[in-house]
Parts: sequence; structure tokens; C-alpha cells
Amino acid sequence: MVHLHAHSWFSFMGAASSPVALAKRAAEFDQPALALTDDWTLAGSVQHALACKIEGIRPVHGARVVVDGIGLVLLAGDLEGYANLCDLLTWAHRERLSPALSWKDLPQYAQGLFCLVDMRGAMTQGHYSKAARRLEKLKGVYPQRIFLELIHHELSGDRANNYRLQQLAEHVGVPCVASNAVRHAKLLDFPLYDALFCAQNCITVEQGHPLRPVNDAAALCRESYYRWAGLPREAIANTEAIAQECDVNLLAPVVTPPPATIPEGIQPHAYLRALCQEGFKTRYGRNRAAKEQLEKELRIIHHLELDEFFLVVREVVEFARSRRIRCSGRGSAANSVVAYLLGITAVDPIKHKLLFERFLHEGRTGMPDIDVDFDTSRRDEVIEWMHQRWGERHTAMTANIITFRMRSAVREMAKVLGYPLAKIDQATKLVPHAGAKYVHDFRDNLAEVFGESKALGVLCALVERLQGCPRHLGLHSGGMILSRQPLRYLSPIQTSANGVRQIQFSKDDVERLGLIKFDVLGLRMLAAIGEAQTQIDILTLPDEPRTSVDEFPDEDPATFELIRSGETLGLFQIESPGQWNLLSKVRPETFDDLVAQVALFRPGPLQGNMVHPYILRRRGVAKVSYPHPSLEPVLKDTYGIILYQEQVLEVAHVFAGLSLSQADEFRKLMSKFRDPGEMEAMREQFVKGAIETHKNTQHPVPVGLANRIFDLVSHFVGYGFCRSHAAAFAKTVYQSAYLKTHYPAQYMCGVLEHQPGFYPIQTLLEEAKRMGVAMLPVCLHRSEVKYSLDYKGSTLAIRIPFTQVHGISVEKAREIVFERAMAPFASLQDALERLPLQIDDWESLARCGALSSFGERRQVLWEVRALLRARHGSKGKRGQHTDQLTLDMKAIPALPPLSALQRHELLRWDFETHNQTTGPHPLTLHRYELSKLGILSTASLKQYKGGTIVRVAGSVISRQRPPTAKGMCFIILEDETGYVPTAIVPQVYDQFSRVLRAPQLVVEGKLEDSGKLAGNSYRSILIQRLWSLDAVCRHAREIIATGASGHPGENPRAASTRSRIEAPKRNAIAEVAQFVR
Amino acid sequence: MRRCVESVTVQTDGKGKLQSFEWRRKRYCVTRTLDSWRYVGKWWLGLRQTRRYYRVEAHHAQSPQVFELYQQDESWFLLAVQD
Repeated sequence: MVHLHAHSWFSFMGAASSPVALAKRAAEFDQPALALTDDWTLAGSVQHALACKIEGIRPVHGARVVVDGIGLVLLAGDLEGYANLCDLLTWAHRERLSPALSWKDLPQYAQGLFCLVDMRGAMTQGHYSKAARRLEKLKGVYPQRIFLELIHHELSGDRANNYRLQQLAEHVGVPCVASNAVRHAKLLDFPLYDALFCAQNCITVEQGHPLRPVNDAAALCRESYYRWAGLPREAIANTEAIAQECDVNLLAPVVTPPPATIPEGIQPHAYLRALCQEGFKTRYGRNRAAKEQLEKELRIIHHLELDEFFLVVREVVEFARSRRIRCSGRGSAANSVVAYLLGITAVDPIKHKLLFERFLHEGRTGMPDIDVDFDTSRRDEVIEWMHQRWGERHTAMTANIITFRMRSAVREMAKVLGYPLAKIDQATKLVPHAGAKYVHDFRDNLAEVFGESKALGVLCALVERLQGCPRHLGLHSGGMILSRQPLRYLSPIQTSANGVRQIQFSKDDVERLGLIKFDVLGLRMLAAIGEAQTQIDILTLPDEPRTSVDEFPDEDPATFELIRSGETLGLFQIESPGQWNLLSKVRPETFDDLVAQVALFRPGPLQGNMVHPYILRRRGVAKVSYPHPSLEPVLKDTYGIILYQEQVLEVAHVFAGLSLSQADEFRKLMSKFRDPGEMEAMREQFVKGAIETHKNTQHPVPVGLANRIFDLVSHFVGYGFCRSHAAAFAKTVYQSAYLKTHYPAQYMCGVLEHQPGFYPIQTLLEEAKRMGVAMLPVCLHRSEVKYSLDYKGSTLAIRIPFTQVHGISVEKAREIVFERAMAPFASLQDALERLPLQIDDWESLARCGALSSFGERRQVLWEVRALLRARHGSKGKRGQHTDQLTLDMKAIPALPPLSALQRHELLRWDFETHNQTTGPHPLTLHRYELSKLGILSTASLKQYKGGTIVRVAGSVISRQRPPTAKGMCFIILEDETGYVPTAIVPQVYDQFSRVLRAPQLVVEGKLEDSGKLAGNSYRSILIQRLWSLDAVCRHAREIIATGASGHPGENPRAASTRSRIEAPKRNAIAEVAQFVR
Repeated sequence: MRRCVESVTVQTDGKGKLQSFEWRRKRYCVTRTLDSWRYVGKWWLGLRQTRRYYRVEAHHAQSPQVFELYQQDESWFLLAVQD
């Protein structure tokens, strides 16, 4: 017998087992085949095909749909049937939120499909004749391929139902088929299935539901169960007969790339060669090594039949360039000279000694990955063009299978178990964003909230079982599928939440199918650089040569000086405090140093303790040594330290004697499977190879050394960084640094517009000011839709745009700019008459200072209100447009003069209306009190030595507590003079966790510097105590105001009386007094 | 059906099929099993006990009656009797 109706956890909360578990179970029961029929989806099909292949059983592909309350299991008999099933599911998913089908949808997609009908519902309700009519109808749609399901789930009435169903089948002339509507692989999986059912239906385990399972009978069963349940022999035999007729091989390698634009009569290979040769002349001239490498790559590419694939990628990149959309290839593709010559990547692989075999080699199976970053703001244009170029039937985005993580699993299962929501909220904050399987490590944290009980054990067990369980289908960030074969032969297509067409397979499934996946990724830094380039172009006079970001001179000293200074806030990749620290120690001088800098700050080198030795050797403090003399050429660039994945390949090649393609396979296996048995087999091969390779040389390799080097390599390979990827990133790092050095206003304009890093807008704005670029407020007469360059006197400055003001959309901003271009706004009433803005918008503009040319903010706000009220009658209504009547100024009473805003009011209005201010930093308001309390500014920390206990105050601009940092918390404080990174150990964190939530803090702690090696240029604070700045300043103001003997100028007797009255208040102040001491 | 949860003694054949049961000192012969179903206990309370229910037709020296019985672990209980 064969299970033709089985659900995996790809039924999204509708079943509890993975396709692998189901296939394993079917194989254990010696069943020759297994169908996967998830609800409305084929998302698990690739995993099902693979699992069945491993178990040696035949996969049957299908899905379950519901039409008019009747469940239909549709099984693909052949490839056309599979395509029809995809089309049917695509049609069912046309409405995004809930898939649905009607009877009339079935006939056009019926060919090649088997249909198993579940009529249990109709039988239970006694709708015999209605069921007969439906079955007749379906018989017409799927003639000869329709079967009535007999399911026995050990429920009351199942036997009688099956008896009636057999009668119905006989009456209509439809054969029966035995089925168990499997929802879990083993009996023991039942609790998880039940819990998922409860979660899906928003009930707790104590609540009932008509469809809720009451027993574990929906497990994948043996044939004997069917016999016990009294299912007829023919129905059991039919399962095998149907499975025999279902023949769809999803894993067949038949996919080819979509057609590239190739001149007529020319073969793809010849065209690729011609394009490369064209690029070769300008990039390499007569470079012999490059020529040899190019020939080698072209040969391998042709051997792997990837010529057209490269041409397709080039076509996309060319399109982006033609539209001046910035793009940059990254990842292992940057190892390829062909990719470089086609303009897909920007890093010269010959110059930077990049290893092609890390990207492609003759033994490679499946399609290579080419990732290209595009300007985020214009990435959609590229995707749209690709849809048009190759047609919607051949292109779609890949899915991202969102699986349960520890937090989501705890939340969902705790709800099911009936814990109160408030406690669940509390508990989920105590567990990290980690895999659900690690929940037992955090049982104590959960016990703090839920209490230690049996139920907690149940909760942890359920959460653990949710490891890897899909929750829903998301959209991959950039993976685009390009296929010559229409996608209907691969997957249904559905629409993501933001309206993008996507297939139901994940990135990994797509790779397994051998499909072409082209990562069209969005990178905000490219958008920022693109914006800077636009601003440079705007300021370039027609007769001046154009400055191109892509043609910046290499290794500009001023740029490297900026990088070494650590003033890298706003730069790509190297703007975090950790990178500041590292920069101060590595002190990069060349592009290769930058490549290393990017690669060093990764989990692999950091956790592998490779960073410190690298720094010491790089700075000449420690001696450079190599594990074996043969490795000197491989590791020379990195001072004997393994830093890049390419070096792993070379070590395996040079030291252990593997070919480069073998070495890449070795690298891939070590980074993916990590199966202990497989690791040992690899160790054996590695050690044997190393001994063999060097046995007749001057430096034979002892077993111990071979093992040590294997350990070194295997430890690194899982987390190491690809050199080509680091180089591609380093290129963008350099471009951003060059722009910041030489075009600060243009660059910061781009950075403010696109905010590519993790710092808030006000921090970026402060950084611009520190760089000497003036920031100008929103102005009705000068602001644009985006951040723009303006002049303050004769120097360049950045003007805040209208779109930053709350309520002002891009469309409204465009309207203002357009109307202003027609004629300047002569007065406030002129602007009010001409612009169709809402009352709230006008108020925001007045409060943020955009209308300051018409008067002081408070005054203008009143005038705006008065004018609008005059227009709309006595009660101006919010949300009304102001373009209906001409304003009658005479109707407006004269306004009394209003006082100007105070400094703190200005700041408050600025932050309330557009989250930023061009005025003074908020800390300047407190500086007087802070200096009285001996609290230092961040800039002054440079005067103090490491180890000094210091106090600093600042706004919190970054707060991080990464799960890998063992409970440490990292905060960056910013004041009007700069910023300082701080760290908090877990004990202090626990003690001050409430205070830590404050937006501005005063901290006391030990000053740490980066040591002599880094010229003591980097400062950070290890926090010991902290306070909310607000509380400190409030108390400090009182102390300062009262002084030792009372208020200044106060009568001593009165002061004494007041002192007695205010004694309790004084006690509160004592807290600060202690602080002052 | 009249509900009456009482312990009973049940005889089955070698395959586990119900043959008779003894209730209130009277033996009832099972003539046919009308239906059977199964409930798994409240797993979230750590109870993995399964109850198997049977609706049977049985008689004791008079016309047949319908009974509902269930088995939990090794024990049998009469759940309901048709009036």
C-alpha cells in the first residue's frame, strides 16, 4: 500500500512532520511510494523528492485543495499534470490572503491529474444525494482518474461513514481508495500536531473545536491498519495502482537559462568570448597571466554550458548601467575574470589574486550563484525590466520559508497551553532569537516568568520539536528565478504581501533543482553613493570633466587617513565601534588591508582568535610564521593567518595535494554537513594526502602536523569569508570613504537620504556638522523632495527636505516644489491659497520652521490657524484641504505678538515634527549642569589615560545585546562633541536594566583605550554605574539653584525655614549629592 | 442512552474482539460491534492514556440492548446503556 494523502509541515500549521520524517517512516514500513499533498501548496515538493530519493522510494507530488467544502487531493500523473496543478494553485492564490477555488476552475486544469475525493463531511451531515451529484460532476472533470477516499481515523461514526461512502461510490461508479489523511509521521508526533491545530485555530488545549483531532490515528500507518479498519482490499490495492501511474521527476536536470540577446548567427560561446576580449584590451592590455586565466575560465564556462547564463547576467547589469542604476557584483563571482571583463563585478581578480575555483570548476554541479547589489531605491526597476524581458511565465522571485525560531515558538506554544498574554510577552523577551531546539538552555529564564511546573516541561518539549517547522512563506530578499522552461512546470506562483510574484520554493530548493537564481539584492549604500554622484554631477559645470565614483584614484592617502582615524561613521561596513577599534589597530594603508579589514570583523576570525595574531603580525610586533613552509605562498598576504575561504582551498591543494576542484568540494562539504563520520573521512583523506604530497621533499609532514592543520582549516571554514566577497565590499568601503573625504556634503546628502547604516538620522546629521557641513532647516522656499545641497554663505550645506516632516508625503512635497517653481511664494496667505495641503500639514510645516521666513514659529503657527479658521468658518476642521476658497485677510483679527520659542522648545518642536534638528545637540541644554557635576564631554576623553574612572553623558544612538556576546550589552553615547562606545557586563546590566531604557544616560566607568599599538586613539568605557540623564539633571538643577545655603540672595532665616519644610526633598537630592562626590 | 460509569469485566477473543462482559453480576454476550473510537488523554497534563470506546449490541436472556464501553489501560468500564 501507498499513502496518497499525506501532509507535511509545509501545510503551515496543518501538520507536524517534515517531508524527511514522512519519507523515512514510509520506507520503514516498506511502502514503495509516498505522496505529499500539502494544503494548497507544493512548497515541500523538492524536499519530498529528495527525501524519497534518499530513502529509495518513489515520490508522488500533489496538493490538497478544498472546493465548496469538499476536500480534493490532486496528484500529478505526469509532467503536464504537474504543470496543471501548478496553474490551478497559482489561480487559487490569485487573492493573496486565502487561496480559493470554485467548481468552474477545475476542468481547464484537470488534464494529467488524479483526484481523490473526501466526502466524509457530506456523509456525516447526511447529504447523500448532494454528495452523489458532486461526485458525478467531478467524475466528468477527472474521468477514469477519480477515486473516493475511505478514511478511518478511529472516530465515532467512521465505520458507518465508510460503509455509506462505498455505497455512494458504487452508485456513482467511482472506485474507492484507502487513505489515512496523514498529518504526522509517528504516533508520538500527535501532541505537536494537536498544538499546531490549536494555534492555527486560536484556541487553547483546553478548548474544543469540531475539527480538532482527538487521537493519533492520522499518523502514517501500515497496511495492517487499513485491514483492521475494515477498508476493502480493492481500495487498498488502488493506492499502489495510482502511485504506479504517477511519474514526475522534479529533480531531473533539464533546466536551462533563459535566452540571452545574441547577434544572429553567433553562438553564445563565441559571443561571450568576443565580449570578454573587448573588455580585455581596456582592462588588461597585454597581461599574459590574465589572458591564460581568461582562456581557462571560458573553457570551464563552456564545458558547464554556462555561456548564456553569463550573457544573461551581463544583460541585466548592462540594463542597470544604461539607466544609471548603481550596481556591483559580489560574492564568489568576483573571483572570475570573465565576470570582471563583462562588467558584472568591479574587482580585478588578477590584481587581487582571487581564486576562480572558489566560484566555478569543472566538477561543479548545479548553477553558480551570481549576486549583484543594486541601488535599493531603484532595484524594482531592474526586477520589472527582467519580468518584461523574459516574460512573467519565466521569471519570479524565490520564497523564503519562515520557520519557527525560539521566540515565536515559545509565544505560539505558550498561548496554546493557556499562559496569560502578559506573561508570554514577558517570557519571550527573556529568550534570544535563536533556534527553537536550544530552548532547554533557557528553561530557567522561562521558569522565572511561568514558574517551574510540568507544563513548562511540556512547553519546552513542544518548542524544541518546532525546530525547522515552517510557519509561513515569505519573500526572499533578492533571489530571482530565470528559466527557459515556463515556471508552471516547477512551481505555483503566488503573490507576496507587497505584491511581488513568487514561487513556492526556497532558495535552497531552487539550487537543488538546478535552477538559475540571480540575486537581485538591494544595497542602500549604493543608493547613497548614487545620490552623492548625482549631487557631484549637479555641481559640475558643463565644461568641467565629470567625476565618476567608479574612477576614483586607487589608494588615496587622504582617504586612508580618514579610515585610520576611525571617523568612519556613515561609511560602508566599517562604521561600528568594533570596526573603529579594529581600524585603530590594523591601521589600513592599502586596498588589500581594507579587504582584510572587512574579512576580519566576522564571527569566524573573531571566535577563532585570529584577529589579535593578525594585528600583531601586520604591525610587525609578532613574527610571521607558517604552519608548514609549503604554505608560505598561500598565507603570505595574510601574515601566515588563514583569513579567506580561498586560502582553505589553496591549503587543501598545496598542502594536502587535492586538485582545486576537489579542494572546493572539500570546502563545501566541511562548511555544510559537519557530520562527525564525514569529518573523520575527510580528515583521513587530508592527512593522507599531506603526508603523501610532502614525503620526498625537504619538509615531510608528520601526522600530528597534518592533523593540526586539518583542525585549523575545519574550524575556520564554516565561518570564514570569501576573499572576493570581501574585495567587492572593500571597493564600496573605499568609494564611500573617498566620497566622505573629498565630497563630504555630497556624500552626507546621499547618506542622509538613504540611511544605509544603523545609526539614527540625527546622528548622521551631527556627523555632517562635525565634518564641517552645515545643516539647513526645512524651508518652504528652498527645501526639495529629497535631501539637497544648498549654500550657507559661500559654503555647501545640506537642506532638510519636506518629506522628512511628518505628514508630508513624496506627492505633497512634489506639489510644493512644483508650485514654487511656477512662482515663488510671496506670503503666507499666497502659499496657503496655492498649496492643497491639509491643516495638519500646515501646522507641521509651521512648527518645524519651514515657514520661518514669514515670522517666528509660534507666531506663524497662530497665523496659519487663524487664516485656515477664517476660511473654514469658526471651526477649522482637521483633515480638510485648504484649496477651496480664497483667503480673506481682512476677516482675520490682528494677532497679539507672541514670545519666541525657547531653545528647549525649538528642539522639542523639531523632534516632534521631523525627528531631527539643525539646532544645537540636545546635550548642550544640559551642559551647564553636567559640567557642575564633573561630567565630561566625549571629546575630552582623549585627554585621559586608560584605566581612569570617568563620567560621561549622552544620547543613546545604538543599543545592542548580540546573542553571541555572552550577555554583554553595547551602547554608543553621543553628545555635542562626538560619541563614545560603551560596554556593560551582564551583572551591571541586570542591576541597571530599567535605567538602561532611558534615551539619555549618564554613565560612570573605566576608560579603556586601544593600547599603544593603536596609538591610544580609540576610547571606550566599561560601565560600572549609570543613571538616567533626565533624573540627574533634575536633581542637579535643584542643587545648583539652592546652593549650600539656599537660593542665591535668599534671607538666611527664610532659607532655614524652607530647609526644614523641604527636608524630604533634600533626601532625594542626597542621591545626586552622593553622585557628585 | 443512560450514563453509568461502572467497572466491568470483559472477555475478548485472541484478536482483541469483544465477546462478552459481566455487569452487575450478569453476563452479556456481544452480538456485534456497532462502532468504535479512540481518545488520547490530555497530553499537555502529561497524560498519555488512551481510551478506546465501543458501542456494542449485547444481550442477557432478553432482547438485545446497546451498550457503550471503554477500555483504559487494562481496565474496562461501562459508560452508557440504552434505555
